[in-house]
Amino acid sequence: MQTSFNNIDEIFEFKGLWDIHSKCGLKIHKKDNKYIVLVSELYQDNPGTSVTQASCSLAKQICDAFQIPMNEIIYIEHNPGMNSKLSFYNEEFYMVEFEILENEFVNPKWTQLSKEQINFFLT
Amino acid sequence: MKFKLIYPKWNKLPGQTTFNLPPHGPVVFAATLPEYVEVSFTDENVDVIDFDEDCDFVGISMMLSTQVKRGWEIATKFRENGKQVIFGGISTMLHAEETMQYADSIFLGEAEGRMEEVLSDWRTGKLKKVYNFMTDHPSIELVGPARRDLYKRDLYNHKGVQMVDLFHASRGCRFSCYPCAVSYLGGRKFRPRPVHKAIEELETIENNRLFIVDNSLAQDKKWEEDLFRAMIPLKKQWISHTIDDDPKILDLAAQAGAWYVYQAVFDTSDYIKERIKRYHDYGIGVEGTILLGLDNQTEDDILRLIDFLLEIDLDLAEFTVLSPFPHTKAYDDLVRQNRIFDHDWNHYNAGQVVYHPKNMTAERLQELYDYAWESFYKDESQEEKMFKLFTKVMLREMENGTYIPRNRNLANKTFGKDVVRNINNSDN
Repeated sequence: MQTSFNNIDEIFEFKGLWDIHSKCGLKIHKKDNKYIVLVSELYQDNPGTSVTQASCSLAKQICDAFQIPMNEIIYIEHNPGMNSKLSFYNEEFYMVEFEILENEFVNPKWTQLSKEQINFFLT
Repeated sequence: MKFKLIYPKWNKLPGQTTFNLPPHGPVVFAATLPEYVEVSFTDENVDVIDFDEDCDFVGISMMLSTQVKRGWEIATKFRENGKQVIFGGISTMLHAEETMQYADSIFLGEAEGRMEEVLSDWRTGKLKKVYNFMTDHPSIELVGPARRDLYKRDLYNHKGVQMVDLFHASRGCRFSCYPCAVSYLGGRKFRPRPVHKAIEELETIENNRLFIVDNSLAQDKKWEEDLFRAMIPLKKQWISHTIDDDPKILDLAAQAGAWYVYQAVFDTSDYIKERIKRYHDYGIGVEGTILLGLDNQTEDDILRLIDFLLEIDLDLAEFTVLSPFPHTKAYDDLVRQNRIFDHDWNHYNAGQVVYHPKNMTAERLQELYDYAWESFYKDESQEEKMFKLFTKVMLREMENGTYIPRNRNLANKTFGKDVVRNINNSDN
């Protein structure tokens, strides 16, 4: 079944490390022949592995679930702000670049995105 | 069936007073083993492992990241001797993938009600590589009294004074604090033990001095009140992490024997100063825990915090630098930013800087950590401050008739070894 990628906005359940039941926020839309995949950490509402710890596996599970070719995603991790005065709970976005090896994502590299950059991808 | 249970040693932080407390995890685990299992326990911090000891199956219980490399070495030796080895405990869960390389099996999660299955698999040669119960917690009702009978008591004794016994009244944590992995390990839901079960276990502990090791007791006020109320007749004296900042609870805690609590001191606010005063108003001592190296701290912030600690009336202070343990937000943030430069788990001891801090160099943070310890204990050493707290508890025990004098037979022993006395024998 073909998915309409302009309306994926859901809580995505995935297998974390050791197949632990885990959850993240997920938004997908298509832009210029690329699939912009935004995964949001849910902190207390995620019972399992964080999106960062599970990055390679999570990206693969999303590609499999939505039939997205692995070389056509722009993958962004989102750490929502926590309404805390502590700076490390501020909202942050990271683009994650992977290598693809034997149909798996490997060697993730994170680059923090500015607000302008994230607006570019998400609009 | 003979089961050899081992708690690996780790290198203690230099320059700090070392006390070896009887470890909690291994004896809680041992209580989950079926009755037909004969358990022999060695805590390598105070004892020597006999690799030739007659046993059928070996279990290695690890709590700290600084134990894992030694745990792997121990497993390798036993496996070379033809024994099968299973790992469990907190740091097995944090370092599971690596630990698996040195294990016949790893156990992830809580062991109550699970060990019959594991032992049956072992007996029939079908031991699984991984037993994963990370999110399938057993009923908290199943948590029974720990097997404290396995301790060699004399080894947890310093100059005749018995160390505190460890005890837990709950599992899980509803908070997800930045440097902490407890919510990953025990689940994000607070799971208090039924008060009558906790009391039942407390009644079995001969030691009158305890450390209640729960991450935070301040997670369910009604339960906390009920627990403290039920503890009053036991006349125990105890240390714990944070308790609720509520007059009724502080009063009950004091009546239940709160000796001193660990309280995070994260800024120089009046709130912190007043909170410490409120504990003291109820006769409860405070050991401040101060985490250095967070991204929101500059050098000036840390220096100001150290000055502040000297102004407020803390009984003790414990300084740590951020250790980015796996499965914490701190670890995720630093991994994403490629700021971790040291991946040797032996260095993840909360006293050694293993990452690039945001507002200073790693070397400068290390210096500030050393400076913090030196400054706080400059006028009165850690031993002297501890002695004051110790005197307080002795007086209380004398008042309530529970005081047990030190064991004179062990007056020349410290954790099983002879006390080394620096006596000046010169003729001058």
